[in-house]
Amino acid sequence: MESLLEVKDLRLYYRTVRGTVKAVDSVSFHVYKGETLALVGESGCGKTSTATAIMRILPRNVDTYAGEVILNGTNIMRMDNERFRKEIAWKKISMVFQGAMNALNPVIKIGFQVAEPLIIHAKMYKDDALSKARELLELVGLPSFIADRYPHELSGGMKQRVVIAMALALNPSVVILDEPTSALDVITQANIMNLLKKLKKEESLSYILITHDLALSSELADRIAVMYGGKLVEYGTAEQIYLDAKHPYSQKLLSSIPTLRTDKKLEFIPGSPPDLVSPPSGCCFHPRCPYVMPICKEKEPTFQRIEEDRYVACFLYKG
Amino acid sequence: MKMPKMPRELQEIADAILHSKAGIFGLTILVITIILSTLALVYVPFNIAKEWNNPLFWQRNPRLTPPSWVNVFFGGKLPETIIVANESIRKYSYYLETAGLKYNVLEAKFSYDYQDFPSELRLMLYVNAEKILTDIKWIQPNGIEITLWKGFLRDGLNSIYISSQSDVYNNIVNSLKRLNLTLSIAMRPEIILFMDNNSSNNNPTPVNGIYTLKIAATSSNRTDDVDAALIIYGRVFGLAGTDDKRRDLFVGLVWGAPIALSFGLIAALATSFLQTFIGSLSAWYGGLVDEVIQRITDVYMILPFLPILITISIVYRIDIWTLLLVVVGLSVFGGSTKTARSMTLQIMTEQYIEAAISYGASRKRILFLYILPRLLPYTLANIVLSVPSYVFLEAALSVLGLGDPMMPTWGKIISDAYSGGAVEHGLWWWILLPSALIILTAISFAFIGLALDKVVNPRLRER
Amino acid sequence: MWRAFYIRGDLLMSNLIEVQDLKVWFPIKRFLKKPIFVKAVNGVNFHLRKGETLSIVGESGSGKTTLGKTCLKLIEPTSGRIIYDGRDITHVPNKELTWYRRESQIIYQDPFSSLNPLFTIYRILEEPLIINDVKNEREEQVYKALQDVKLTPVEEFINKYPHMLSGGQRQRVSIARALILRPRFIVADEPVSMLDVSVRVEILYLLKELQHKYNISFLYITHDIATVKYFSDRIAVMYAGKIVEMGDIKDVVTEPLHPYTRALIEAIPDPDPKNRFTERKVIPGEPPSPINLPSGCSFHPRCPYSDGQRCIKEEPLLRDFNDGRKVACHYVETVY
Repeated sequence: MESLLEVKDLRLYYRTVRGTVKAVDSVSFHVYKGETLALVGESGCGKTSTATAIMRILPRNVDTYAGEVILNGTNIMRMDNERFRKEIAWKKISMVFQGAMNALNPVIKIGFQVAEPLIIHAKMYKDDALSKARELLELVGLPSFIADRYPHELSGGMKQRVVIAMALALNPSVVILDEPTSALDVITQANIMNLLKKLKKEESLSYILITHDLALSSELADRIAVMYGGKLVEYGTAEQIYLDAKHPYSQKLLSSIPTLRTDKKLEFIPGSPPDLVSPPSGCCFHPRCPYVMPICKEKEPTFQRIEEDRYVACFLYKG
Repeated sequence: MKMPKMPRELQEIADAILHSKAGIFGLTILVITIILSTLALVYVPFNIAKEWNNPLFWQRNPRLTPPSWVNVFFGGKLPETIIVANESIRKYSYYLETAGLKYNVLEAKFSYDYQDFPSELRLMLYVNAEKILTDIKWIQPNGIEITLWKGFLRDGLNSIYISSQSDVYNNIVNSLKRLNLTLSIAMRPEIILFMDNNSSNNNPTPVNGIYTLKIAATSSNRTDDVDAALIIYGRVFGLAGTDDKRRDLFVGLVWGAPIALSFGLIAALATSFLQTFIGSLSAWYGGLVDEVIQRITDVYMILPFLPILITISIVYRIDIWTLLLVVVGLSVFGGSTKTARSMTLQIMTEQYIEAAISYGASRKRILFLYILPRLLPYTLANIVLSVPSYVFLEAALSVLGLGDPMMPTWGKIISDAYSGGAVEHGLWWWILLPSALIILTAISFAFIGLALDKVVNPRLRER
Repeated sequence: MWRAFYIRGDLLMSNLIEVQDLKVWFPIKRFLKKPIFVKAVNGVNFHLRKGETLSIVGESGSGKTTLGKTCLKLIEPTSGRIIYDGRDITHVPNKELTWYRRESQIIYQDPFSSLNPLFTIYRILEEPLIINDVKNEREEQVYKALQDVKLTPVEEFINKYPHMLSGGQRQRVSIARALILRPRFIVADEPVSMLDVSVRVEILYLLKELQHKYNISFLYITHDIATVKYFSDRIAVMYAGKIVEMGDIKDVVTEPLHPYTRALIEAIPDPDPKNRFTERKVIPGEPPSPINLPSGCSFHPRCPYSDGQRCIKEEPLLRDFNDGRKVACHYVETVY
């Protein structure tokens, strides 16, 4: 398996009035070519921050921004901003932001908006860019006359397709999708997921799918990384995670998902996610963990390898 | 168990001001101004300020003189006012029985050590007799004697304006002629009387030393009496100088402060609260009420504020509190009405409002308890930001001559300065000092407003 | 016959809410033209028994939220009838509905904006009591409400402000507030959609517990049909302002009859890693705009079973099937 993107020890802390928030605290994973990695976790666990850290979209009050991001052998963290903007952003890695469909410019036609990255980054002429834009719209399943419409004339699902088209404009190898279907209806959501599946196959894309919906991520994920309190707690293939989750948090998360087709007793996790300014001592999950041991309160478990490409951060397991 | 309802919002405001440099700067200036005003108010009690329009009260001040601290730049040579009266005057009188004459002799001695001449001289004689024959002589330290005036004085206060009376001037010139000291050019009496005759007439310097003013008065009654006060008006005075009516400008400036601040604050408070309340009401009750209020607001906003004020001021002689009322009346509806309306419309979409309806809250209750408190930070910021405008407004109207003619406001002082020819004659302290105070007040509020901007504009907030 | 009447009478007495042919149309005024209408609710019939939970499931724009709010008279119905506990409240003006406001409550979706940011938790919970002139023992009632929703120790929460609590905690406060007047009927509008996944279950179980404790009837409005199993007795599926299928929860979920219900269920993924290898079977298109509804059956443009004639011309009515099931579909009628 060819590793396309490797993230090593990525850290992003930022300052607030109350203290330093450790949004991303030493996160490491691989994204393999043609595969989807799902980054799952609940709100505030740092998954969106991880994505924006990779894309170098940083908040104003950054305290620490460190680690390595290796794309096709090159460490893009070391690049200066200008080079990153010219070579990587949108060209090699692009991103579909959360709620992006609402961020479409209401006074510019769809065609122009999709053509914009082409004009700016690929330096295409307007006419070429517009015709490429129409091709892209067809690629995402929209009829090409949509290019002449305005955003308010489109439905939610259509707008999301437009945004996906924009992300694909410059043929990136990695597309980061942050909650791509959160505001959409169930049926539209399924349609978008089908589209993403199709595009993955046809265009040989690798996705990083960020979501809190573990059921949804099963639609695309080949590998899953579970995040909690800014840290990675488990990493493995979809089969391993869904059928044999190791970390107590992953297990409880899975058992808290209501299923339609099977009958199961739902469990919930008491308590609430940790405060990223002053997280609990030791393992940040220990206040809510059903298997908590004394050592969990004192020391932080390392993210260790228990099998080939299978990592857990928990004292229950030994590497 | 009841907790105060809005500590968080007010706390936010206090935090915003205290945590930003701008806020602290503005607040400091304001606090200093207020402390100084309070101290000054103690130092200059109201019964002095009351006399602002009473010319007699200020007689002992020089006219149109800059503040004393200016002397620092002039090496201390500009004279301060010297008042020679009471203890400084030796008085002896005797009654000659045989002639039936009462003689009163007053000798006023003073020391003059300045390098520059006084601005004016005035002699005030308090006569307690029907008629009294008086002879006034001026004796320089070098012994030169000059007759100032001879004649009859009447009962009561007699003022001899040494600097301006022509008979005095003639007497002086004649005295000099007899002493063989002539003047090549015409000079003012106060210069002549202090001048060193050896210095050139073009660039005279005063003689330093002890001067004597000798007043010899003769009258017929034993009980007749004379008292005198010689006022040698200096060229500098007090902390803020004087104006053309000899008023100590410091009094005017100090007492202008509370007037300016209270005018500004009351106007700002009233208009801000009224506009916000009406705007909110308009949005909350909607429908016809909303339409009517918005149309009235539109009309109000089109009305030319200043021309209307000017017209009213011309037609009616108004005092400052009526002016305040008119200003507020013309600002009941305004820009904030529309903003408050928008803000209310947005708050109305929040679910806790609808929830309140679902458990039976009346519309009135929701407006006052749920919506208006949310508008408080905006209103407060508005107040702070609009105080300077109202201070300026009052000053502007006064400068145009349309303000309260009686009150010593900063604007009125500037207005007097303008009509008193301050610009033409370079009487800088008369204009610059009140202007500086207005600007300082405005700056302090502007800086506080800058700090409050963070509260009002959520996007500037930190995460 | 006597028995039939007895049963019928029994049903009538145990219906807390009955909604008959309810329509809620919002007019959009246009200049110099006849107004057009947003037909949010377009002819809905259902009943809700005492102590029962009826789920209203639909996508956004189906009218479910409008339906819920109209049942509480927060929105005025355009036509049809709402009967609460035997009383027709359809046209009763708001001023005379204070008694109803005590008996019916709402829980909102957004835990952020459903609580007054200026009030402490204590004050938020006290407010319904103050408004409804409850004089005694307010403090006890507030404490009890917080204990009911398991926000303990109570002292830790009463002096806090909403922004100091997590989403889940805020939602519990909303629930406590809805409970404090001991209502008989609560509309829960997507109460867990904005909460984290691991918290949702907890809240749903809490609602179920409270329902049994206080015998409250719930109208549970959601788009997440998977949660419905855990907190519902019956389910009604809405599409374009109408109910297209209604029945017991187990029956509808295991054997959906209406094509839309089937499409809805098929579109929802369970956490199964095999999902990524196949394309999910899904119908195309999006729900219609409530301003411009299709003719005949509103679902026909997307329906795989549309016959192209009757479905386009004639609106299917909600008909009874066996076991209390109701479906509005021509195709289903022909098959069954």
